[in-house]
Amino acid sequence: MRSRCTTFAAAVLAAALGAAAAEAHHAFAAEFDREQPIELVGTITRVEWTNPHARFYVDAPDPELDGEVVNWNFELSSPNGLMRQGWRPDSLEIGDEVRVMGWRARNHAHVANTRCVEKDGQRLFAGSSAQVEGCTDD
Amino acid sequence: MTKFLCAAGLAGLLIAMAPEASAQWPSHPTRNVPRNEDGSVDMDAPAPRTAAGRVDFTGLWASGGGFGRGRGRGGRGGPGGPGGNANAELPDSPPVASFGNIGANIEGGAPYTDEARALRDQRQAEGSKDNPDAHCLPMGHMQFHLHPQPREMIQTEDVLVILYEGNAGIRQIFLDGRTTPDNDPWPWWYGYSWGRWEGDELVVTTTHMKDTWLDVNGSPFTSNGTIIERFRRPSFGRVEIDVTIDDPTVYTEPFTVRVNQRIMVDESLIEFVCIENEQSSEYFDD
Repeated sequence: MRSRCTTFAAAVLAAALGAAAAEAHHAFAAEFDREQPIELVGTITRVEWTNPHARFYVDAPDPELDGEVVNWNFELSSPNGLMRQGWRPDSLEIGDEVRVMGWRARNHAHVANTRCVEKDGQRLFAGSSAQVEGCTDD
Repeated sequence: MTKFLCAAGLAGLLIAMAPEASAQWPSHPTRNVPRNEDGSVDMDAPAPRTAAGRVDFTGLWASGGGFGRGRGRGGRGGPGGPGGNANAELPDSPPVASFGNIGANIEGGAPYTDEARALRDQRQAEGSKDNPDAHCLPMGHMQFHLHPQPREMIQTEDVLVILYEGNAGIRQIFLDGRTTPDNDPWPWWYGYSWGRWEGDELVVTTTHMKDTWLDVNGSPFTSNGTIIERFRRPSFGRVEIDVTIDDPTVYTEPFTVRVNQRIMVDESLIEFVCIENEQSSEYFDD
């Protein structure tokens, strides 16, 4: 169970970062499938702080491949929006272990739209192209 | 004591993560901003004027935050963006448009022809994969107006230039007395726009646009159509744009919607090179 401080910190951090803001490049439903939610824990291998979407790549098991570790491509919002929400280019770094929730690509590639990222026990809102109200604690 | 330490730690974390401390585009104070005693922007202060006495639209503007009829919520596939909903009901005002659905607050929706409605439905079913925005292309006036990313208006006596952060759009509205060209110019992504003043209202006419989308859902607009925009700045902090869509190819009658924008101060437009790392279209479900 989290300490009260950690829970409080997570809530205030979430409030400070604000609800996920939709950014450019709108065709979420064509690329991602809300019926394919995923949640993975893995290690970041690459970060692309680029438009139209920042991306980070994670070595994590594929639950549909008996846990075989594959490299996932997670899509974030534009760095423009992320920066306005308090992210830095080094908010996620190679070697970080993260827990990620999102929606998988419709064509079932190892690609997903990021809904939430958790690092060191704290959540960073990803600002996906989907209309979300923000992640909530479990 | 525990709460104090927790709060102190949080304060440090938030300061460390503050945009001014960490962003590549640091905050810089905007000049001549009317402020309240607490330092907040006086949104209700009078709108600034040019040396010639015209209302000056110059500034950085975010989508949403104004007044009109309806809450401005988008349909499926259409987020409204930060602050994108009207915050007051005005029954006599045009219905507020939504980024996802231009007719979200029109009773019965936008007045599509049967073919246009079928096209919109098809585009929606395909997840808007052919939205020009999704391919880093100019997305049309309505999507630019309502896009969650900001836009900078720069006004001179002869032209109003709008720089859109989303997909780095650039639009010219000529104010130098010219009108619609009579030499049948080729349709353009941004069309051909010219404006005239009616008191404090800038009335802008746009023709010769390529076929485009009016919202994320795919409401169509063709090169046969005309867009009339009435720009107003009723106070320092707000812009209202009443947009009339007149395109008999796809709509049975002209219709008018409201676009609201609110001022952003001490911030800048950030460059957005969409084609830099565009991968999404590789994963579209064909």
